[in-house]
Amino acid sequence: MPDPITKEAFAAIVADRGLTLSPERFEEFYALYPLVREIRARLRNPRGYDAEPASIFSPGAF
Amino acid sequence: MSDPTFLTIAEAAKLIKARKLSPVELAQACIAKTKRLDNVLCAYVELTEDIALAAARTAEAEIAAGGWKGPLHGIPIGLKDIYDTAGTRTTGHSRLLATRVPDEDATTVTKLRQAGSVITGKLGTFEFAIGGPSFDILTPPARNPWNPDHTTGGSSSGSGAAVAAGLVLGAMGTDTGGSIRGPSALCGLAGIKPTYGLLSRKGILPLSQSLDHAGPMCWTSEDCALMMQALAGHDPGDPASARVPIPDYAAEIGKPVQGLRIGVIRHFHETDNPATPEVLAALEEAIRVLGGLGCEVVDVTLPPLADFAAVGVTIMASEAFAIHEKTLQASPELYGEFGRDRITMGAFFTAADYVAAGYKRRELAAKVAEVMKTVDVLMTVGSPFPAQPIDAVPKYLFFRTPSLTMPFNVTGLPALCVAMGFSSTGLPLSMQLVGKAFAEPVLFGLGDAYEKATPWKSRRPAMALAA
Repeated sequence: MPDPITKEAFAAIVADRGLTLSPERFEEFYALYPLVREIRARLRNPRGYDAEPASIFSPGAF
Repeated sequence: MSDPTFLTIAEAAKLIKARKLSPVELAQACIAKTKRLDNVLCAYVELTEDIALAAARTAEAEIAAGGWKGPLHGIPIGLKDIYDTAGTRTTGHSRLLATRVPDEDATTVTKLRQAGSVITGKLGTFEFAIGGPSFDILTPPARNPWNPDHTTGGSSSGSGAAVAAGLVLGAMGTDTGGSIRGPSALCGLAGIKPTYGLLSRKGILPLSQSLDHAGPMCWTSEDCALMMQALAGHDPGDPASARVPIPDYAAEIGKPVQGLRIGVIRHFHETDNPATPEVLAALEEAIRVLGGLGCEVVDVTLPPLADFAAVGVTIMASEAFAIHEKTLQASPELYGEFGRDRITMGAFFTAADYVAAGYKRRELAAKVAEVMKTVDVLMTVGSPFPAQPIDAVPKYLFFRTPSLTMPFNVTGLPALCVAMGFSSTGLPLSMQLVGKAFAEPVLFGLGDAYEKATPWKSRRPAMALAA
């Protein structure tokens, strides 16, 4: 698991997403961010270059 | 007839066809019951009484003239308020869309009208099918008819309450991570999330396009089959719409289920997201009943529930945030707290997370498909617990606890919730039956056989009986 994100780094993410959070909501989401990282880690496992995501574009559909 | 609002669709259809039940009188009975109960239940965002009665009068005239269209003709049906209805508000239960009136019906609504259904109005939902139960949105949240202090579950919350209480005979819900099956489970209904792509999503407010499913919620599995017959079919207006033959969804109703092989995913409800002892005991009894009907029941193992949840949550939150990004940036105060904050969680996933969820989704679907080669149906619980008090639902439950319904949004497989008893406090308990892609008739047949072998469908909420 990576080091805990700093509040400054998390504030940069919030700003980049265009969100305006009250101090209370900022603290709430900051406290939840480790959960996002846990979920993220579950999605990563070794894959070859031939791996395909489920949502592959199909030009025949147009 | 004592109370026509408690007829199943199948029962009412027979009477209507034989002209022993008037669609107008049936609609009037449903509307009268709604007026008596909905100040407590809050199932409706908008009851469209005049439209319903006009449709009922049309149905009655058509049937009198020998033009019976099928089992939905003259049947009162409610719509979750994310289905577009031409000329009638579709709000997503949100202040953001409080005055939005679509020009066109959703494809599924068109199909219901073509089948002669009597559309009674727009039913409550969690805000944009994710934010609830909330008291700070357009109208108060729906309450559970089995105990109004408790939630119906969500997000098809009004649909769950309305069918259980007999305000309608059937309703439409949508399901992105369990939003048909949750309220069906907690309100004692049969509710199906069909195979992804089988029912059109066109004209339905999206939450997460690659996980969203439309589907019916009814009192019985047979009624779900009857509604599916009218609803299924390719729609060129939905890019995900499947091109598959449409079977007779009621083909297995009343047929023996002997020899069906059922795989119980014990680790889902025993360790991955442990159900309460009451729910586990009820499931074991249901397994015994199905065994007694001649089914072969075996245990199966799928990947960990948390893997499915990680995929589902990442995709759902990311797609939902993409839909709501501009309004969350500009007018977050117009959302209720739960909807605003649950959708905002999507801001913190990256593009690489979203693509990784797509890789993982394919891997999980392939693993489940391997297991499905060995059984006809998978089985787990519909909900790990009965309905919670309405003010005690955690805001981030879906992110913190792996959902027992999400795996089948991730894999797109059809999943039917069937009532399997009651808690000691009188709240419904439910099992979840999962089929192979496009094998809905097998699920309806199995659900029907179980319902007929058990007494659960004879019980209705006391407050609705007294109304």
